[in-house]
Amino acid sequence: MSLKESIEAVRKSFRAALAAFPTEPQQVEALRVKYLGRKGLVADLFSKMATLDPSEKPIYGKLLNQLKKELTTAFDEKVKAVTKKGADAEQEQVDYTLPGLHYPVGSYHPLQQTLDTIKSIFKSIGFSVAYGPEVDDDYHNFQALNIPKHHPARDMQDTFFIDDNTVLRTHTSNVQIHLMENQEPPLRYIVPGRVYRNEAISFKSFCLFHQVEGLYVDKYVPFTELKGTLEYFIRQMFGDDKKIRFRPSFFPFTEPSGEFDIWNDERRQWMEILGCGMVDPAVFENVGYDPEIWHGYAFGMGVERIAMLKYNIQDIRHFYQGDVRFLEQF
Amino acid sequence: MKISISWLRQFVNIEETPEQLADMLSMLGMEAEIGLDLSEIKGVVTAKVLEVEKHPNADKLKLCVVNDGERDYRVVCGAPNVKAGQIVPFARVGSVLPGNIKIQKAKIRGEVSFGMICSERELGVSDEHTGIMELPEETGIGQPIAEILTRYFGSLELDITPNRPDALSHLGIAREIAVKTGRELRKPEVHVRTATETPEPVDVIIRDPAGCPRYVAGVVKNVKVGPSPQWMVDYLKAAGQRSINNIVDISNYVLLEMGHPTHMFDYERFESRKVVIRRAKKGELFITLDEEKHELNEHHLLITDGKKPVALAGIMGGLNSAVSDDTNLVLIESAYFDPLTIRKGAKSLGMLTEASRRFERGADPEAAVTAFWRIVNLLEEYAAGELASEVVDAYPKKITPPVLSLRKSKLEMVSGIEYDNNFVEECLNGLEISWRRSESDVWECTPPSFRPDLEREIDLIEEIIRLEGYDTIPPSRRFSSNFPISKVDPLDSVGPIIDSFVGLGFHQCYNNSLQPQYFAAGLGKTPVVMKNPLSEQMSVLRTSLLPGLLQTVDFNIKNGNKNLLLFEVGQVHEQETPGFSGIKERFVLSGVVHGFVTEKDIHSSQERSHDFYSLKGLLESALKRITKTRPRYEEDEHPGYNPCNRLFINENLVGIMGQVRPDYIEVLKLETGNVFGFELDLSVLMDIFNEPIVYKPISVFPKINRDVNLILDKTIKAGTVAEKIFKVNRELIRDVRPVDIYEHESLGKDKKSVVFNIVFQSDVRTLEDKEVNSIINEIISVVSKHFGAKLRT
Repeated sequence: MSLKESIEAVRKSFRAALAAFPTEPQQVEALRVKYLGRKGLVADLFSKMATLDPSEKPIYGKLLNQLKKELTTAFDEKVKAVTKKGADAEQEQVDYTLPGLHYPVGSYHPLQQTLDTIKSIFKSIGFSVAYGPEVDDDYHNFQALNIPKHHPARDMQDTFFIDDNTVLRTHTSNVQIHLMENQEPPLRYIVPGRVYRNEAISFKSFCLFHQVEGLYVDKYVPFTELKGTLEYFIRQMFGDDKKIRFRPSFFPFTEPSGEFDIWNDERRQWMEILGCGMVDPAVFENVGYDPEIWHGYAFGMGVERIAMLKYNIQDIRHFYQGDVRFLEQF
Repeated sequence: MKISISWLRQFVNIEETPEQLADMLSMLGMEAEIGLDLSEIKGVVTAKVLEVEKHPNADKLKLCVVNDGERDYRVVCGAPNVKAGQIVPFARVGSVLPGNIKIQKAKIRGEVSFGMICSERELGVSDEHTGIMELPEETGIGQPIAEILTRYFGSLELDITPNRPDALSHLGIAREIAVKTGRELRKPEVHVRTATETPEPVDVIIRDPAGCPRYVAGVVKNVKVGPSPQWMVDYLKAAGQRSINNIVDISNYVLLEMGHPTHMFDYERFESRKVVIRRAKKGELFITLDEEKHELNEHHLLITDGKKPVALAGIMGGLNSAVSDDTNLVLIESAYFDPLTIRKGAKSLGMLTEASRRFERGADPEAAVTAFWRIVNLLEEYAAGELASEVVDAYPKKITPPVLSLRKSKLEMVSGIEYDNNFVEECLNGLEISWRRSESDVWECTPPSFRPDLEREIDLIEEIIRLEGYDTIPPSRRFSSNFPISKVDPLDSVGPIIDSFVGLGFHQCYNNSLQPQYFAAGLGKTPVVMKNPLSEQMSVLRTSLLPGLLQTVDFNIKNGNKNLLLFEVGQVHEQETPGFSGIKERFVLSGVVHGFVTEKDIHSSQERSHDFYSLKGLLESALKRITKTRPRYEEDEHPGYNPCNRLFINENLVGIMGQVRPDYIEVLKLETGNVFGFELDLSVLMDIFNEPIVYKPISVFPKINRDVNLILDKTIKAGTVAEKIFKVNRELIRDVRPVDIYEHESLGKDKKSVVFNIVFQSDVRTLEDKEVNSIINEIISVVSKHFGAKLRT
C-alpha cells in the first residue's frame, strides 16, 4: 500500500469511527489517542515520511498536514456537539417554569406622571417653573387678582379660611401676584401646586386638588398666541385626534377670558380642561406693571381632571386613597 | 339657568336645532347643554282616551280604553284627572321611559293593562306627578311624543358667568343670538297707562338712597287671582318654574322674560299708604314668604309700610304682605337695588333667590320702568286688573353709564388680529352700545344700562373678540423666548429623588392634607387650624406626612395588601407663632415600610419581616443614589418614632427614621401592626443632590481585606466602634463593616465579640502586609483606649 493509499485508508476509517461516536468520555479519549495521539495513526503516517524520496517529501508533507488538520477539526466539532447535547439533557431536569425571586416594584403616582408630562411640554416651549405658598393672605389669593371682598365671583370658589385675612389658596393664581411683585417683566412661568376648595367630597370633587398655572408677560403677547400655545399643549397632551373647542368664559383676573373643552365620547359631553385669558389690566396695576406697555396671558388647569381624562378614571377620590391596587396600575 | 326655546322664538327667529343653538351659545360664552333630553324615550305616542270606567277591584284605579290611531288598548290608570276625550302620552307595551323603565303587559288587581298613560314626571319633563299629562285637544294621535314635548318644552340649560346679569333672561339670550346671527331682535311692547279717576295714594320714601337708588311703584286694583293662561304655564314649565297663580306667575314671567325682578304686595295689608325703604335695625325680626324667621342687622335693606317691614329688599317678600287668593289691590314694586348691599344681605342670611342673584350681579336701572309697565299690562290682560294710582318713580340720583374709548390700536394689540371698522361697529350696534368714531380710529362708546360689566376699554375689546368667535381666531405659535432664564425649575432634582424610591419598590401616594387635630397633637406640633372646616376630621393642615401614610397602610391592610412600601412628597405646615407670619411651610418626603421583606416561597423556607434594618438598608440605597454617600446616624427621641435615628449627610441634618411608635398608631385609631418610617427634608436633600459631582480617579491597586475580632462590652455599639476605626487612617481605610456578632459567657460577663471586616487600599501603590499590620495595631490600640476592647484570639 502506497503512502497515498494509507492516508486515504486512515481518513476513511476515521470517518466511520466518527459516525459511531462513543458517548463515554474514556472511549472518546481512546478514539482521539488512536488517531491523533502522539503514537496514533496520523503520527505513524508522518513517521513513514522518512522512507520517501526527498523530491516526494514536500507533496506528502502537505497531504499529511491537511489530513491532520481535517481530522482534528472534525473531532473537536463532534466533541463539542455531543457535550452540548448532554448538557441540554441535564438542564431539562430543572423546572424553569418556577417563579423568579420576588422583588418589589414601585410606581409613580398618576398625578405625578401627569404633572411631569405637563411640565415637560411647557418647558419645551420656553416656560420656566415656579412655586408658591399654599397658605396665603386674602390679598394675594383674591384682591390683587381683581376679586374684591363681597364680589359675586367669590362664589365661584368656596374657600377655607384660617382667619379673616388668611386662606388656603383656592387656585395657584396667587403665585402670579408673587412672581410679578418680585420681578420685572418679561416673564414666562408655569406654577404647579396644591389648592383647596371647601366643597363636599364626592366622586367628582375633593377638598383639594392640583393645578398648573401659567403666566406670560411681555410687550407683545396677543390673544392669538394664547390660543396657539394652549392648543399646542392640548394636542401634545391628548393627541391630534381629540375634538376640542375654545369658548369665551369669565375670570376676574383675565379679560378676555376663555375655556378649553375636550369632547368626551363616552359621556357624550364637553369636558372643561383649562381656563385662561389675557391678564386683566387691573391685575397689572396691582403689581405695578404699566398695562399700556405690558400684555400677557394666564391660564390654569386641573391636574386631576387631565389625569382622569387620560387614564379614564371616574372617581377623583382614587387619587388620594393610596390603594395599592390602584397605584400599581400606573 | 333654564331657557325655553319656544319662549326665545318670541324675540328672535331660530333656525337652529337645539344642539346647534347650544353650541352657538357656548361659543358666545354662555355654556349651554340640552335642557330636555328626550332621547331615552322610546315608543311613546300621543293617544286619545275613549272610555273611562271604574276598576272593579280598586276604588282609586280606573279602566280606560285608549286609541293610538291604529287600534284600541285597555289600560289601568290611577290618575285622578283621566277623562274620556283627552289626548295623552301613551306608553305602549315595549316602550321605554327615562331611567330605562321598560313598559310590559301587567296584571293590576286582576285586570290586564296593555301599557301606561304617563305623567310629566314619568316622561322626565317636570316634577308634575299629581296626574297624567294632558296635551292640547288639537294634537294629532299616533305621533311620537318627543316631537310634541320638544315643541312645548324644548329647553337649554345655561351656565351664566357672574359678569353677565343681562344674560339671566330670555330677552338677554335672544339678544346674543340676534347679534351673532345678524337677525332682528323683537322686544316685548309695553303700554303706558294713566290711573282711574280716584287714584290710590302711594308715597315712596327712600331713607337709604345708596342701597336703593331707584324705586318704581304703583297700584293695580280689582285683580282676580286664578290660574294662568296655558301658554304661560308651558313657558314657565319649560324654564323650570311651576305655575302658582296668575299674579305670582306674571311676576316670575317678567323676571325670566326680561331679567328684572319685581315684587307684588297685597296693598290692603299695608298699615299706611307709604313705602319706606330703610336699613334694618340690629336684632329686628322678619318672616319671609317661605315662612322662615330671620334676625336682621344694619347690613339688611328693608321695604316697610311705614309701620312694619314687608319685604327683605331685593331678596324676598314678607309673609305678612303676600298676595293670597282673595287679594284685590296689588302694589307693584320694580326697583333697582345696590348690588353690594343685596349681596352682603343675602350672603349673611345664607339666601340666594332669583331676585337676589340678579340684583347682586347688577340689574338694569332703566328696566325698572319697563318691567313695571310690562307687569301692569299683563295684570290687565290676565288678571282683570286696572292701574289705580299714580306711578311713583323715586330716582334721587340718576345712574349714568360711563363713556369709554375703544382704540383700534389697542384692540389689535390685545387680539393679535386686524379688524375692519364695519365689523366693530356692527358688534357695538348689536350690543346696543352707542358710539361715535373719531378720525384716529377711536370709538367713544356708551354702553347700555343693562351691561354694568362694560366699565373699561378692555371690556369692549373682549366683546369684539367674543363676537368674532374664539373658534375662528387664528392660533399663533410664536414660542420663541428672548429673555434669559436663571433656573428653569427650582425643584427639578425632586424627580431623581423620587426615582430612587420608586426604583427600590416604593409606591408614591398623594394623601389628604386636611386632618383631625389629634393627628398633629400626637406628634407634639401646633397645626394650622381652619376657621370653617368641612368636618372635625379635616380641621387642620397636616404637620407631617406620617399620619396620612399610616392611614394608607391601614387601608391597604384591610383591603388585603400586606407588604407595603409607600412614600409621599408634599408640603407640611406648622403654626410656629400666632398669625399669618407664623405659618411655616416645609417640603418633605416621607415613607413607610410594613410586612415582609421576603416571604416563604418555593426558593426559600426563610421569611423576614420589615424591621429597622430593612428600612435602614432601603434608605441607605436611596440616599447613596441621591447623595453619593452614606448617612451618619444619631439616636434621638421623638413622639412618633422609637427607636428614632437622626440622619446626617456631610453634617447636614436630612431627616429621621425609626419604628413608628405603637402608641402613636393607637392615637390615630389605626390597626397596622409594626410600621417603620422616615421623613426627609427635601430642601436640604436637593441642595446636596445639586452639588457638582467631581470625578475621583479609580485606584488600580489591589484591595486588602482583614477581619479584626474584638471583645467589647455589650453596651458598646458596633457602629460607634466602626466609625472610630474608620478615622484611624482616612487615607488607606476604605470601608469598615461589622460582619459577625457573638455572645457567650466564655467571653466574660456582659461581653460580646464583634468581627469587623476592614478594607485597605491605596491610590498610589500596592500596600504591603507590613503596612496594613501596623495600621491594625494602631486600630487595636485606639479601640482598647476608647472602648476597652480586646483582640479576640
